[in-house]
This record gives sequence, C-alpha cells and structure tokens, in this order.
Amino acid sequence: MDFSNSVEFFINDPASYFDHSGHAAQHVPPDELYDLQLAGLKKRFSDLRDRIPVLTAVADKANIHEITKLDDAAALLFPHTVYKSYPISLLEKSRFDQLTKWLSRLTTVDLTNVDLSGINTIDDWLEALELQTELRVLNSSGTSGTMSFLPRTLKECNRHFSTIRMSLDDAAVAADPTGERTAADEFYHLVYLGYAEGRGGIQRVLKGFIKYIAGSEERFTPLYQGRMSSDVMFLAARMRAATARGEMLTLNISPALKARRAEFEESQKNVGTALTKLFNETIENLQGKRVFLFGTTNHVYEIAREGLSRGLKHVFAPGSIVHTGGGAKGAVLPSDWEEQIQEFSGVPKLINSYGMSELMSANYLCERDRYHLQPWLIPFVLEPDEGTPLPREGVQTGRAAFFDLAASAYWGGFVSGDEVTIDWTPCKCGRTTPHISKFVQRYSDKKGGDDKISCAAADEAHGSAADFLISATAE
Amino acid sequence: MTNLIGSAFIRGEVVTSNLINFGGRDGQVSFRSPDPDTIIDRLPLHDLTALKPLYDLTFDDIVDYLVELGHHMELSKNEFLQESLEYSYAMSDMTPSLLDRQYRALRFLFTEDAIREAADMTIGIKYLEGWQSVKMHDGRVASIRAFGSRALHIVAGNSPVISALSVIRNAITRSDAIIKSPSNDPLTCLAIARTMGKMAPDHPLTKHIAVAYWKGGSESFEQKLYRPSNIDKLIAWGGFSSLRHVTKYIQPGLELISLDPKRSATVIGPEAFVSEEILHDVAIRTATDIAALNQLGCVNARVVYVASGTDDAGLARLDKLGELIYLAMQRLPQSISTKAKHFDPNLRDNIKALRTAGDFYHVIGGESDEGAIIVSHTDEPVDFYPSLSGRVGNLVPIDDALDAVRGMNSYTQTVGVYPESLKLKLRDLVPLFGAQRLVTLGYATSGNTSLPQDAIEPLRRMVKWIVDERAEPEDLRPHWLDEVVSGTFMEVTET
Repeated sequence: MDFSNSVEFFINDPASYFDHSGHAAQHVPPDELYDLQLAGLKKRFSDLRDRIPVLTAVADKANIHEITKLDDAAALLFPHTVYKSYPISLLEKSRFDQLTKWLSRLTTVDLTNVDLSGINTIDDWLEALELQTELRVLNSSGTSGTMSFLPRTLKECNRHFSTIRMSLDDAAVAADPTGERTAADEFYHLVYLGYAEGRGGIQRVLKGFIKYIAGSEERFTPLYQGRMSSDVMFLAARMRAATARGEMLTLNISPALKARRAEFEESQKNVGTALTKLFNETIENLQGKRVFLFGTTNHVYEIAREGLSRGLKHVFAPGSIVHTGGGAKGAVLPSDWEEQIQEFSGVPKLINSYGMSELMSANYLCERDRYHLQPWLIPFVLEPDEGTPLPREGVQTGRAAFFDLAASAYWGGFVSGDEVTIDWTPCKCGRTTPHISKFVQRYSDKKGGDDKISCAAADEAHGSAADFLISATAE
Repeated sequence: MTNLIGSAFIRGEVVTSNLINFGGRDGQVSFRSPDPDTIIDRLPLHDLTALKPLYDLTFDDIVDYLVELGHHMELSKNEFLQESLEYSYAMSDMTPSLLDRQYRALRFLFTEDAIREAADMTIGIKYLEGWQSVKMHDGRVASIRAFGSRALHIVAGNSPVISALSVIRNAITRSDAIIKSPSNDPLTCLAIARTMGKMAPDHPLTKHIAVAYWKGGSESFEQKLYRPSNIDKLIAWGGFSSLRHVTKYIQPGLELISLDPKRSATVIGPEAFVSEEILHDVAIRTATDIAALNQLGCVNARVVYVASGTDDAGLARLDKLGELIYLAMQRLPQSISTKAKHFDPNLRDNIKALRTAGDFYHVIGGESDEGAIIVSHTDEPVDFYPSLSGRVGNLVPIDDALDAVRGMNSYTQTVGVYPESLKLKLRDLVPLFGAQRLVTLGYATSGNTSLPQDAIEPLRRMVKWIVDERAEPEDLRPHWLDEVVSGTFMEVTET
C-alpha cells in the first residue's frame, strides 16, 4: 500500500489500520505519526474546504487554501459553540426548516430535499433526518438553556465505536496489568448508567457496546429504560436557564410537546426508583460475574455507595471493568470515591477516559495516570485568549483544541472549553502519544461562569423537566 | 503583589494580626487578611448602649463629619486611597483609567447637597433628627422617628462607589455597620474606614463601622455572625448564587435588603432613523449606555431593542445603526470606557460562532476583544444575552417599540429610552412587567444614589420606624370603657 492509500486507510478506518490493536495505536513512532497526521489533515482539508459552507467561510476569511504544517489548522478550528449558533427561538417556534438550513452549513450531507412536513418536535426532526439521510445527529444541552447539534453520520458513529472497542482493550490492560487478560471473544454483563436510547454521544455507540461487549441484549441493563427525549432535555435546559434569569413566566412550551404528556408520564414513572430497581434486579444477580459497568463518575459512585451500604464488597468477578468518565457533573464526591468504587466492585483500578461528544475518540488513563490521546486526534494547546498554538513540544498548559481525523462529513477541528496540560515528551508507560494531565478544568468554571455543556448532567434535570411538563399540561 | 495585607477595621481599631492568605478572583492576586475566626467575636456590636452617642449628634453634625471626610477623600492627599487604588489596578475588573476616574470622583459623593438630598428624599431629615408628631383621625397623637439599625453589608466589588455609598448610608441613618469587603475590591472600604479613623478616631460615626474580609459562603463563620442577636438587617448586593446562599440565614428578627443581580435594556423608537444627525446622536448615546464603566454594572445596556422594522430594509437600517454604535464605542473617553481587562472566553466563543451563522446575525467588531455589536436578524436577543460583557451589545429589531416589553422581567433594572415621548408611553407599561428605572438614552450609567434603586429605597429600608403613641380617654375611647351592645361587642368609633 502506498503512503497516500495508507493515509486514507488511517483516517477512514483507524481501527482496521491498527489491526484492532489498541496497543499498536498507542505505539506509533512520533515522526511517523506526525507524517500520517499531516497527510490526513491535508486530505480532510482539501476534501472538505469547499463542501462545508461554514468551513469555506472561515478558510476564506483566514485566506487559507493549503495546509503545510499541523499548526496551519489552528486558524480553522471551530469554536465549540458553532454547533449551537442558531437562534434558540427556532426551537421554541418549531422552525425546523430554518434549523435544517442552518445545520446543512456544517455538513457535507445534502439536506435540501429532507421532507419536514408535519414535524413539530426536536425528536421528530432528528428522526426525520435519520430516516431520510445518513445523519445521526448528536445533541446535548448546556445550563445556559441551549442545545447543540453535531451532524455526525452513521458511518462515523460506527467508526467511532470500532475505535472505542479497540482502545478499550489497551485500557483494560493499563488498568489491570496483572489481572486476567480479557479475551476478545468473551462477553461481559453490560450495565450502563443512563438512558438506553437517545441521541447523546454515548447512546450513539450503545448498540455497538451491546453487540460486541455484551454479545446480546439479554446481557445489557441500562439505568433507565426507554428513550431520553431531546425535547424534554431541551425543556430541562430552558427551565434551568429561565429560573436563573427570572423568566419562568414567559417560558414557552409548544403545543406539540404538551400533546406528548402521556408519553413523558410513562417514561418518568420509574425514574425515581431506577437505582434501587437496578440494584435489586441486576447488580445483586451479577455477583461473581464478569461485568462491564459504565457511566459518569457520580452515577458509578452512587452505585458503589448503595452497594457498600448493603454490605456488598468485591462483588464482580476478576476481569470486570468499571469505566467512569465525564466528571461528576456538579456532584461533590468524597475524596476516596475511587477507593469506594474499587472496594465495592473489586476491580483493582477504574478505567477513566478524557473525551467529549465532539471527538470520536476515548483517551484512556495509562498506568502512570496520564490520558493518552489517540493517534487520529491532532491536539493543539492554544494560548487561552489569543488562540495561537503553543509549541508542540515539552509540557504546555492552555486551551485544548483538537482535529479529529476520523470526521469525514463534518469539520473535525474544534476548540474546547477545557484548560489542559499536555506533555509531548515520552510517557514512562511506553506509549508514544502525547498525554494529558488528570487535572482538566473548564475555563467557564475558572472564570466564575456557569455554562457547562454536558450530555449526562441532563439525566438529572430530565426528571424534573418531565414533571414540570406533566403539571404544566394538566387539564 | 501577593504580600498585600488587607487589615480589618473594627470600630476605630486597625487589626493586622493572625493574617492568613486569601486568593483573589480568578486566582490572579492573593492577599493576606486577619483570620476571620479570630475577629468574629469582635465584629458584632454587643453593647447596645454604645449606640446612644449617635443620637447625641445632630443631623448637621453628621453632615459636617461626612463633608470633612469628603475633603479627606481627595486622592492626592490620602495615602490609604492611593494604596487601595494601586492594588485595585491588579485586583479590579476595571482598567486603570476607569479606576482613576472612580477614585477621583469618590469625594463628590460626600458633598452636603448629595447627603442632604439622599436623607431627605428617602427618609426625611426631620424623622432622622427627632420625633415627628401627627394627630391621627382616631384622636391619638403619634410621634415617629427613624432609628438606625445594626446592619451587615455584603457589598459588590464592581465599583468602589458601592463601598463609599455603604459608609455614607450607615452614617446618615445612625446605624452600626459590619461591611464585608468583596474579594475583587478588598481595600476601598477599608481605606475609607481608615481615613475615618485617622480623621476622627473617637467620633461615634467612626466607632460604628467595622470592615473585614471573609470568604462569602464560609458556612460555619456566617452561621455564627448572621444572627438576629448580632444584626437587624442584612444588605446584600450581588449575584444569583451569593444571594441564594444568604437567604438561608433570613429569619424572624433578621431582615434582608436585597439588591438583586440585575440587567438593563434599551428601547429605541423609529424616530432614531429620521435623520443622519439624529442617528449619530442615538449611536453615541447607546454606545455610552453599553460601554461606560466597561459594561461591568447592572445599569449598563446589553440588549437594545430597536423599532427599525424586521423586513430587509429594517435590518439594513439596524446594521447601519450597529456600525455607528460600534464606532462611537471605540471613541469614548478612556476615563469612561476602555478595552475590557478580562474578556469572558465563553462570550468570545459565542461571538465567534455567530460569525458562522450569517443568516441570523451580523457581528460587528469583537475580533480583538475590543467590544462588539451583535445585530440580530431575527426579533430575538442572542440566547447568551445575560453574559454580554466587555462592551458587547445586542441590537434586536422589532416592528413596534412597545414590543420591547416582552424582554422585560423582574431582573430588568434600567431601561434607556429614545425618544422621551416613547418613554412617556413605556413608563406606564414596563413596570407591570418588572422593569424598575427608565432613563433618557445615554444616561443609564449616570446615576443619582438618592433615587430609588431596584424599586426600593435602600436608605428607607435601613432605618427602623419607631412610633410613640399618646392617647387620652377624652380623645380616644379606651378599650376598658368598651360598650356591650345587644349582648355582643361592637366596634366603637369616635363620632
């Protein structure tokens, strides 16, 4: 295979390129990786420059027609807010025609002929896009009352899962080098501490987890059955923002949402007791079995606390995996939360990854407690105010930005809201990729702001929003 | 700058012992200040008879004291203020040229006219000065006097004026104040108190002010201090979460005077587009309301509703006004407005994103954090409008100027209006939706502290209205002579 073919192979199917070896992906010699990344970036830029209107505008403004080095892309990174840059009233007024037009400027997928007749809710709109196009939009809500829409395609979602599956293998070894090597053909009992269905980052890859990690639906249990409605998620975010802004009186609930009251009531029935139910019906029965438990840190901690209060310790079989991530979502955890989870589950070390919805990459903690970036991710550390890239060497602290080479139908370059410290020197664990310190903080927290973009924090708010909707629509 | 020592001032005494470190906001500048736990017992006034000397003063004495204090507030002669200003350059969200002007202007708050106006407008000097008798319709004679209270002030740090105002209000009302300095302005109030201590160390007004710093939200500390046995009133300026936090201490005997977080708005009528000359005038006025004091105040304009019309011609008119406002903003005097000291990185991201959504927004400026005008091309403000800061305004087109009321709620403090005729229409309407102050366009940030604020009169709320009722049986039939009519008690009124 010549270099140009290998570059295409690398960016379009990273998991196969590394022969599904997470170890191989993390041990590419740095020089070779630089060449691969630069060639991949050039390829993406030349393919997408004139096909994604927003990118065209940004590149025109920056007068960039060619990429010669990785840092050239710094001027082309989108702010993470681009995916929510539409006027929020379009959602409140169900103007899905205009929203579709807005979204079409961010993707190569042709949306001109999408039939939107009769579409009145976000759920229906996203479903229409799924039925009529290859888009599988990811959405999330922030505390400012906005909702972001990332136009990922089905192909990209599958690509994403295949890389997670590959990377997990390496992460499991890092977490438990002395433990039993997990055989790829052996399945886990999969417990996910969130909604079974929905359009968040995790839910878009959940089917892959069920198929390849649980092996079948029977070995899969979510905390919440059913679908997390994007409309209720949006309503929850609006309520939160309206409360803080003194605007509850003027909060609009569309008639279409009111009409779905019965559906929300049904979905909310069991939310309050979900944790106890999960414990009684699933966790208790999984004692001594090989389990893959994953969720946000606060949820996993809740499970451990419940278990320890029932006197349960070291409940899962050796080789089990407990995967946390996404932070505590505002919950305050005791300093020994990690030890408590280990004591309850019996796993010697938790698997933890740094990532975000916008990236098709799970970047796992190594034996040295460093998050290693996956090779198809080009990291940038930006000077936080000016946005200029800091040198790609030594140890650098600044605003994290990435170019995700795995993105092929939207622009993979974006600037996050996180302050990170990246170390470009070799890690003692032996992996060759740049690595990030465990201490990541959001600039909005640092500057005293309150806007957190998150997919999972909405889980908690979800209940109260549905309750509000039920009472607001009561006859 | 980390060796900055913020002492405490407790009723005439400067305390510099048991210093501990406190981080400034954003972790930028830290300072040392007495460990709050070591002074908590001395902060509240325990001996209530100590309040008595305040009532030996006449109101003229109080005015004389404050006027003299005003003379001592001359920046060039006051080492405490100079030191405070020096450190504020690093700690304040304001830029040096704005701080210079604010510090130089502090003494104008202490003029006789300003003090008398504030007292007379909101309380009435005669009620502060003594008992005022009034014969009531039922025959009794009531004597009413306004007494001071023991108040704890949680002041905001976005302007040094707030600290000075708290000191003045405490003196006018013959109150006892514990003032909690804000972390972004830990020295101004202390400098004023130390000036009082140097000027008149044994004066009763000096003896009834305590200034200290503790971290807002330190629960064990606040629980001990925020009690009815220590204070009568809690005067809180501040943000949503800090006010939320304070409300848990409110109980019978401890009253909250809340100067809530607020936002302000602007309404511009179609008359703005009558001529080029008027449009330029409207632009500089709007620019001033947005950018004066670097948009750090609640009084600053953020969302500007403009009756430009929402059709293409209307949007073109609005874009033009936006360009003019942007240009005018860049030309404001440096003593009034500069490029922001810290530009909110989230806001920067949001503005950057809007540039990519050209169907809905036209963004003017903002490329180098110098401020920006976001022109909405729909009739809605941007969703992140509460975070507009660093001289960023959002122009929103409407068809009818009265449509602007839908953007008003109880968080709306000031509404700048052009022209006056529109203000006369709006003033009967916007209060129903929650707005609290209407002002001629261009004057939003030029306040008079004697006037009501946030729909209350803080000075009036700070005093306790005490009544002495005198009644004689021949004037007012006493209850002991009540008559039983037809076997039931009847209300007996004077004839």
